[in-house]
Amino acid sequence: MWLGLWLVVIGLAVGVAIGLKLPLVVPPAYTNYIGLAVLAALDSVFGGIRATMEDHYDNLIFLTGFFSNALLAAGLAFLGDRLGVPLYLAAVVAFGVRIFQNLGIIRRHLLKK
Amino acid sequence: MTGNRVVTALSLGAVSLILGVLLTFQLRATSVVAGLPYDQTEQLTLEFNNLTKQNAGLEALAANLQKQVDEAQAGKYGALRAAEAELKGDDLAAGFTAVTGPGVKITLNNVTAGTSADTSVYVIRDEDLLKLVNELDAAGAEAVSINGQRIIATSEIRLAGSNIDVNLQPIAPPFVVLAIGNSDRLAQNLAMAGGVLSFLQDLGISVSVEEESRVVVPGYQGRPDLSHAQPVVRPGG
Repeated sequence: MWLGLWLVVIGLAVGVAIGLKLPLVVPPAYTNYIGLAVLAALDSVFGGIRATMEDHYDNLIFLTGFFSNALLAAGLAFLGDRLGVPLYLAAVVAFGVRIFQNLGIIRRHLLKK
Repeated sequence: MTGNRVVTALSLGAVSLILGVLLTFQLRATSVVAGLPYDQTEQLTLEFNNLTKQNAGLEALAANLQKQVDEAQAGKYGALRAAEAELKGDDLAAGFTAVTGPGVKITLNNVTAGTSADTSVYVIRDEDLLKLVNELDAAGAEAVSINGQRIIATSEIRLAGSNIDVNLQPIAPPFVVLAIGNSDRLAQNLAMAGGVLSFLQDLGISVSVEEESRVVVPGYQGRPDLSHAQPVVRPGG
């Protein structure tokens, strides 16, 4: 159960280190998309942690969920930009709600233990 | 189950890694334009570039104008200097500045009482000084003064009561007349027989003419008040 949490922490640390090493600056126009991708990844990670705690983690579901969520969010943001409607807010709200839900469940699992 | 665990670990780790990379990118991108909404940065950047271009153009324009101003200033100073030089020359010619140069010093004094046996003692009169100045001018004197009074265009020499006035200032004997010019020529002209000095000498006035290599003739004090005379403006001139 703890393995998932540690993996997340280590992966995050390595990712931050790589991001700091890479001399790459995202063009300001794409910051919206990156933000959504961050939210999607965060949602997937919390979902994954919760699944490992509940012992019904499925790798296929985890990965497809991550990519489909990220793509759908990016597509929504892109469509919203074209239509002049801030559709990315839908993704933000959906991810946000799910992150809080997952966080709550993880908390309960941790406290129950 | 162990193989499954490894895959789980790898997936979770990979997704976390991507999350970390994206997070740092996002933080860096937003910190680059701190304090600004991201969607405005592009527009603001465009505007900034435009303004920079405009600024460069305006700076070039300002430099150009500054050059013009400098040129005009230089022209103005040049003209001012020329005018000042002209004014100085005019002042010199009109007798408003003290001048120095070779010349003669003529001293005239009345017959002192007691030394003359003659009963009809002659005193130097205004006409005598006028004639002397006239002769000096005719001999090419460039600057003349009598007892420190510079003779200029409006100077008068006349009897006022018991004094002789020059430039409205009373002067008294001995009269010291200074003249700048070719000293030899001035002295020769003054020594001419029948001239004013020989006439005065015959009357018993003490006359001395000294050629000097350096005479200082003072300038006219103040300015003549020209309230009626107006310069003639020539049409087309």
